[in-house]
Amino acid sequence: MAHLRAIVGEEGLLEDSSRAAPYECDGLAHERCRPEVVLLPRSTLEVSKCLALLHSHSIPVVPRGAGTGLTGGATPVEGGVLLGTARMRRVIEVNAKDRFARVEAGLVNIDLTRACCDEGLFYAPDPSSQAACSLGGNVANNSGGPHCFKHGNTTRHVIGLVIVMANGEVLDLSAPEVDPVGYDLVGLFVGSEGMFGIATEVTVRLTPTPEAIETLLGVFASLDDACDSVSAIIAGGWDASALEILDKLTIAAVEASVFAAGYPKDAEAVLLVEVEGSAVECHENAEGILAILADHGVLEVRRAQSERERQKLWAARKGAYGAMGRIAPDLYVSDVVVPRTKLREMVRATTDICTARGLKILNVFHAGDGNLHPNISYDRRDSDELRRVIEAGDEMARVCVEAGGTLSGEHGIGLEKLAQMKLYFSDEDLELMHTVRRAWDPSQNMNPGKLLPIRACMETRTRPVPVEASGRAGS
Amino acid sequence: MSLAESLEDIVGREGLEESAHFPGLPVVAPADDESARELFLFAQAESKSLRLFGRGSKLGWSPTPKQIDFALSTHRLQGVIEFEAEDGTLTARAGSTMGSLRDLVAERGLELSPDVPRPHGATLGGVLAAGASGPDRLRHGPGRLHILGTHALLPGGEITKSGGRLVKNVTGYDLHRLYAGSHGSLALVLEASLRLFNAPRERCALRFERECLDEALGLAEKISNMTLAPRTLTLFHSGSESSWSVDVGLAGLGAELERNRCRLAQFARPDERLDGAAALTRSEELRDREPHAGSSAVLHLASLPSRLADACEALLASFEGRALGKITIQPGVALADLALAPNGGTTEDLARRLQAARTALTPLGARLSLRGAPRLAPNAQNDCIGGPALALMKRLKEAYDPTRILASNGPVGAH
Repeated sequence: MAHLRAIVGEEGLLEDSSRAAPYECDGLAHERCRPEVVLLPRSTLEVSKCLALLHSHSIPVVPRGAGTGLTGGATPVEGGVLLGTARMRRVIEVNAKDRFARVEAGLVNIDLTRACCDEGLFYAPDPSSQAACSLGGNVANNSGGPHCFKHGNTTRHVIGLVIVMANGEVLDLSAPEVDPVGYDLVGLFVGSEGMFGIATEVTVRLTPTPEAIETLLGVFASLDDACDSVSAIIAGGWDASALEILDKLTIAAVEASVFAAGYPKDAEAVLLVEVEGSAVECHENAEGILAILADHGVLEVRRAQSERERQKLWAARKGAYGAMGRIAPDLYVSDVVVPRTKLREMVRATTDICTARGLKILNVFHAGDGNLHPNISYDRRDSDELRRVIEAGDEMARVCVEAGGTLSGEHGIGLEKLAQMKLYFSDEDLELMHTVRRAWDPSQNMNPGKLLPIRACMETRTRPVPVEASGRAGS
Repeated sequence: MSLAESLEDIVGREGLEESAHFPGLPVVAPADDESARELFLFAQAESKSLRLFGRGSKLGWSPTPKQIDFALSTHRLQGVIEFEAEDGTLTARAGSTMGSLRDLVAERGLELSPDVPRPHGATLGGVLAAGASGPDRLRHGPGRLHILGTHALLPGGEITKSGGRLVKNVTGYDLHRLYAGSHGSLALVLEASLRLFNAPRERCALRFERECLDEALGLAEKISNMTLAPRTLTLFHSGSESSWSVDVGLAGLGAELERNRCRLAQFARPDERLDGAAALTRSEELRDREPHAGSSAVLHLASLPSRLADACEALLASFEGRALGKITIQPGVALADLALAPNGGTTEDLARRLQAARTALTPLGARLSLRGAPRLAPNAQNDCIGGPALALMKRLKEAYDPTRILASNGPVGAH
């Protein structure tokens, strides 16, 4: 411990149980394990020294960005040390001419756009948590967001990384390469959920700020109509940058909160559409989309008349998860993807799964990508309700995979969907992933117990033991 | 039993071929996944080394390995597995040509990326393995980003999945990103899924002639700085004439296209303008104008946009006095291909000039590789990788192919 303190300084090491308490879970609140030690290094060098020391003692390391993940990816279920990047938040370089930026991994997502917006540039991936989540966390989970419908998830924007490997070795891939030289290590690392190493610096591509943006809010009498509109917009070849649906319960939650934006509370669903480009392009796309909405029974369409109004509509959309906190103490945010042609039936199927178990489901999702977020408001102190929530989550994943969908579009697997990995991948697929992981980290001490189910003694370890049951709380 | 006879036992007579790419070597073309798997198992059992390829259009992008016992072509593994136009996705077998897939999706108003040169001679698997892109990279980004998932045959005979067929998917590691640009050194991609894009509703092609490279690059920079979002932007020098052509491809909805064309015309009068089908034909001509044809080798330069002019200047200075062929530059993505004229110099001279060019380019952060020069040592052809990155790549190669049946000679190392 003294050696670690010497590396990160007094402020960079938390071993007192109460100070480590905030690190016992991320957004997957029902899976908790308090870390034995929390390290908050300030530089790549400090991370390297910490990992080298921990590696020499075979101590597991769990990387953590801002802790806004939703799958338990930063929960230290196998003990060891939690290493956070919260004190690494510098913008190292903004190169406006070549449209890239190099930043430290702990930088908050929105702060990158703040750092480059004066140059007419922005960072496109915009998770709902973008005011809090870190770029390093985005890299680990290959995060998305509403505008990833047009711009793509994080992996499409990361062009370089500095990675500290499990043994402390520094892999400098930060040069903004046009194409990888040799194997695409950067592309492979993005989405590896902290199991290959820790990214300490991120080089990202920046996107020119569009000349014009138009935001439309379509109001519908049925969720089905809203879903069908989305399918028709995509099939019609209209270029939207975001297509987001909020259902009635979500609207009610938002409108009762500080994020209220005037969404009609009597609507069964609203469709938030954004188009971007030149003014002419925006106009033409918006007109095409409006015609489709009309064909699908839209009751009313509101067009944002100002940037302030646009921001308000988006604040309501992105604040939806926070607003749901008014309904119950806990929120389970599921994340599944279905073929876009099956949007309507899969939204209905996930809703049925929850209502059949007496659970309150709120839908707010990236309809354009087929990326559903069935959210369940619940109270984890009610063990039976918690059991039904977990069961519903498992069942929703199963039906989506059976419909040709997948387990995650932007949150990752973490702890939450370990068991479901076997629904989507064969034993051979998973074994290959284990093999690749061992090539990166032969010790397998980087974020153990996540993403890849372990087969041992004919039993698949897929869920951590709740902290209360294990008696590890506060230990 | 000879090697050829053993291979014929697996793939049948029609699957045993000859190829000008591999003179004197047996070439097999399995017709199905199971035959491909049997060939891998045979190679394992007999300690044979094989080279994977599609139709051979990009074999020169990676140095030829010294030790190959036979070659495996995917060209008979053809066919579309799933085409969901409304979902904007396509899954096809690796030997399908990019041209056939392009034609298929075009019928539904869609396009695929990368739009590679001579697409009817390039296979999906080969394009993926080479990490190839086309001139549409300016609009859509590098081709590797549009691969949604793969099914790949591992050297040990297992068929494994990565990613899927959906436009958004973060389930599991993105192993398909590893296969893109691996030149078939890790696994044989049997099928791949691609994201599709809306095809442009209208097109316009503009050509500007300029006296010298500086002027051409200057015009390209101005165009890049306008918010035109051109679909393609290509500079071309034929090698024989003195002037450069700057070709701009615009696409989009009618009013938008007209607006951009007018904006461009305000400060530079085009020497030629084509619309509609003629513009599409022009874009295909530009795409297919590969500098490789008729040349001995091609220098491939990758830079940053802001340093491209300096990098081109440094490269041309290093090759001053040596006969050069066609030059193609994509300034928006900072790539350039410079053809070396056949019989333009000795191998030693080429190696010396390459070394000099790299010395000049390194401070500019630019990289240089040589495509299609099998007589040169691999280290002379490609940029070197060192340190932890190389060690990690070797571990990945070892993890995939511990008995090293898949011949490779790229940056990760020869065997």
